[in-house]
Amino acid sequence: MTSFAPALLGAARSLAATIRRHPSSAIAAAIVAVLVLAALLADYIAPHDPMAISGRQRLRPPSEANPMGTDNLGRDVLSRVIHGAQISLLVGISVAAVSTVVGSAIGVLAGYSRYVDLVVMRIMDGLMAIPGILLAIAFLAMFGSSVTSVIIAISVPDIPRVVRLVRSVVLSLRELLYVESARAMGAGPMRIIMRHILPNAAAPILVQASFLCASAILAEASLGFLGLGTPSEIPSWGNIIAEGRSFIGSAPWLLFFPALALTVAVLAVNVLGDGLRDALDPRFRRRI
Amino acid sequence: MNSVVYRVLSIVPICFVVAVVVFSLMQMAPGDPAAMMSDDFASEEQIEQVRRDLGLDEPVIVQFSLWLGRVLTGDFGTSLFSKIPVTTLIMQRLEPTISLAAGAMLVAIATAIPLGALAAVMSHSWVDRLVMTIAVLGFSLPSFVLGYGGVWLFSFKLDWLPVQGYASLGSGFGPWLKSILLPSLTLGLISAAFLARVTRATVLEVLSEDYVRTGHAKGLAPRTVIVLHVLKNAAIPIVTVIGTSIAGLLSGVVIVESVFAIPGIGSLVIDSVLKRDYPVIQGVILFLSIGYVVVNLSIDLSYRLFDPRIEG
Amino acid sequence: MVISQPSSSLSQEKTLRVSMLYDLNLIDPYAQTGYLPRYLGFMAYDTLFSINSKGDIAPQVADSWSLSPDKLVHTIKIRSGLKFHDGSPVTAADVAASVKRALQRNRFVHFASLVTSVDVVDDQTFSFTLSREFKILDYLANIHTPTFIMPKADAETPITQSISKVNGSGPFIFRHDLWKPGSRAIFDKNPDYAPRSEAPDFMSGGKHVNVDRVEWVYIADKRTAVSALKKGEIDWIVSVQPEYIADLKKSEGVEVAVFDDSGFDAVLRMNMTQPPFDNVKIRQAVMATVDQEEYLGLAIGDPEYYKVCASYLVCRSPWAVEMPGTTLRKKDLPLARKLLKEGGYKGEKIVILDAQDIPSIHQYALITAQNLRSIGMNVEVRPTDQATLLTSRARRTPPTEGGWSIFHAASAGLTVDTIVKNHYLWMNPQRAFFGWPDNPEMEKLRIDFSFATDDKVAHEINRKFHELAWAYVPHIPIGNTFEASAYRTNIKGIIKSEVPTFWNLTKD
Repeated sequence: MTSFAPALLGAARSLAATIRRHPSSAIAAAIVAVLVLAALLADYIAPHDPMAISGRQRLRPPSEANPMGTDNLGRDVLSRVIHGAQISLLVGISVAAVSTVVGSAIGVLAGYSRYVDLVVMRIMDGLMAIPGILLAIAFLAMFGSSVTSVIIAISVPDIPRVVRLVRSVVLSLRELLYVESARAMGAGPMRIIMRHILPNAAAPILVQASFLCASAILAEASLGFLGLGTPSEIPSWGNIIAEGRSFIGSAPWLLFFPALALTVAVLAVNVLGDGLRDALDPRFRRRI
Repeated sequence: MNSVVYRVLSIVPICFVVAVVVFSLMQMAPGDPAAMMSDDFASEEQIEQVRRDLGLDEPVIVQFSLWLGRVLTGDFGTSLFSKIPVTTLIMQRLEPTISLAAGAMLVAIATAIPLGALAAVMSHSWVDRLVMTIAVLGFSLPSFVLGYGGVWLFSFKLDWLPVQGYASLGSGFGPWLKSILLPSLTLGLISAAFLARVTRATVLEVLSEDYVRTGHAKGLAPRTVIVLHVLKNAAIPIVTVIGTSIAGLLSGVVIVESVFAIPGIGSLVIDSVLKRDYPVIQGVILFLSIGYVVVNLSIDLSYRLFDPRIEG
Repeated sequence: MVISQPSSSLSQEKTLRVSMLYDLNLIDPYAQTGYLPRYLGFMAYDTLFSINSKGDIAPQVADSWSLSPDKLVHTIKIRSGLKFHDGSPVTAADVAASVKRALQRNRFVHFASLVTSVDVVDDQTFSFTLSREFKILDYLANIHTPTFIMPKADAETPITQSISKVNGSGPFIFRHDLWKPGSRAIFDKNPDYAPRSEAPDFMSGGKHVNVDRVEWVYIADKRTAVSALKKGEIDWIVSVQPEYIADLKKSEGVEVAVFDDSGFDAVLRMNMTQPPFDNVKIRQAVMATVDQEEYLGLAIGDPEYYKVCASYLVCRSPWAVEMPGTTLRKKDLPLARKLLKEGGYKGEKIVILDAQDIPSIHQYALITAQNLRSIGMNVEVRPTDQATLLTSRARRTPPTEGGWSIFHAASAGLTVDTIVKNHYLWMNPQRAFFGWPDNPEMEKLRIDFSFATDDKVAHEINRKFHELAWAYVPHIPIGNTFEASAYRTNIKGIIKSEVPTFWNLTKD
């Protein structure tokens, strides 16, 4: 339990086993892989420039040239959806990373020092009390709309959740024998945190991060729906859906394809998170 | 009883944190209500005059203390635009939002707890898989897509429910229920998805505890075991999740109110942010946060109800 | 006497539910946030004069009026027996005070100083005196700058402050107690209103109200408003955004019409105090990239709702002069590149303000960005919302320091139908509209125009001004757009006007 590498190896093995037993996780992983690839290679695989405006191509239904049709500015929906994967995954992964890293740091500190705990947890309670989307809206009003501010705006309300989780894990680990003995052997707090506590807290943090990623992708879309999200020049799924909904009655493909892409992506990340949990959480593993 | 006092007092710093966060965010936001109120041809001096009339020219710290002082006496100020007191605006909007949130909660609890428990009892059967698949799908769908889908089906295809709007309870139970049903379902199903997973996990955990097995050994029927022992012991985590999910629920309220044009608190905030109507934004967010804190406090205190062993 | 019930209480209350584009958030009829305060003004207040379908001045509160031989003193007698909603009578003192308040508006800044006094003669008569002859009644009667009659005490509120209660003498009573800002505003029929005896004619004549209540509903999600109209949950969407027109046109029980023939005049405005648009050549280069059909076809779509108009005034105006050649009707990219080179463009950053919450404005911004990039300009589209745009455009700093280079806007046609009224053509940089053009020669022509009493002279000045404008490029016209309005077919008799009117119409 004191070394990181074998734990990771074990996790990888059980992950493989889980995939065998849970084809849904495997399918989800495959979908996520395709999305990541699409996002990375968007510039090469998108058939058209996602931002090229063309009056002659306005509101074309799906066809061979435009498999998902074109929008009201004559832009190719398929290309926009592919590039949208870029933005949505960027937002999802960044939010998961930012809130996890910041939240873990604060959580470990809070779990380790009673004084920090007292102050920090009040602040976290305060942040938790504001509905996340309202906090995000206020943030966006302040920073103006850009991908970075969307990421910050969605991350901040998530941080307290990570802090709480990590803090509770740290609190329960702190009293365990091997941490006590490490301390008795004169290890400094930094070393104890890095060597003993974080590796053991990794599993629940990772699982949490996958769910944060999924919910961030949804949050980006919700902000786009309210017209407050990613700059609307950028083809994010939220923006494509928000623009497309005006045309449900006359050009339903504008809403259908991006909404489908969004739902499939969020679903895949969530299912993958479930699989990850099954693989990493020993208590769940025993039961399955 | 000391612990109760402590818990109640601990609300104060939380609310203070919220007040500071909200106030500083809005003060740093670009955009100027004075400019929005003046016409296109107003000179710099005229806009400055409007700003003075609104008290927006004071240093931020002075504005904050003035605002905080008034809030402590229960005065949330008035809207910069309509000049209507913020408390009146909140009261106008409270009934729709509470109806929607309560309706959604009801939908969530009524569907998620039985289904979640069922999934746990029949774990790894097709019932479990089905319930859990629907649950994952439930929180993977954007709420506005669900809402538009509901409108298409229930309002246009079946012609059962109105497309939008809110009928107050004062106008009769029937119209009220009709106006709130579709929004509650939309919002409730998303919360239900999450709650069902928690219920399943918790019940699974409790089922593996020794005393449940003892219950089996004593020859009690499995159904009685579940209802009596399991749900009682699973209650605390489930209730906790319900409490903390209220903030999430309110996030959903913002979207659903917009889809169904329900004049609730959520749309009030969005409107005010777009107009930079500072007193309203500050007042509403503070009000919501206090509401959230109080609800969670009562949930904490209610633990005694489920388990007398717990002390605050 | 159990049986006899007054028939009116038996018949169903008639409520007209109308979805407005914006939310009514200020109730001073002169407030300038959106158009709704003015629309409220036309419901709850009576106006001094009005306009008939021929564009002539017609009396409303005024009963008769006369002009002194030197054409400097207007004397106006008001109708007797008019009452405000609180029951107090409408007197000449109230009307005189109301005229004074109307004159404080910034739109009147150029000539309000020419009114030397407003005097009450007797209970029913007042007069005002000018220092120089001009068509003041045209301005006081215009439906964009109407004179709403309010009690003296309210009228004495400075125009920079909003009045906080509505006490007019108009055909509807605003229900302050039922007002929910951000959601709905309710107007009840004024039972004491005495309509004029003339037949209704555009905004003039008798205002007969045939419904008991009008509810303005604000539905932020326009998709939802469209669904509500299709289901008959609301009766009228005053302004339908272009993307919903096709859907509504094929809906049963719904009629789509244009009530405002003047339409809107869309413009691309440049900041003329900062490089590179302080240089006329560069402004001309941008003009050469514009094909109005491209902007309008993309943003509006259905040609029934837009019109190419290569003029500095809205094309419905008799003063509009269209540009010669193919300018604004066809792109000339080689010319644009040539002008760019001649102007010495050095790759300075162009910041386009993009109000994302207004779809057409957002689309114009994207099209302009693509056009400017196509001739090699360095463009940044800066996303913002309307609230921020209003403050950002006032900044005179360079684009790289929070300033701006380009914004797009659309003005109601009647506000921009002469070179005097059109604020984009104010050429004195101290008083000019954002973008701050500076051209004393053109400014002088505008002043001359406002005092020209001879039509021929006025047309001559107007043509000369246009020719100078084509070269100077104070802004680039993008074309005229017409707002669709959609209503249930059981609503009949809606008056064709840019201001939605709720008298005359009936609901079956």
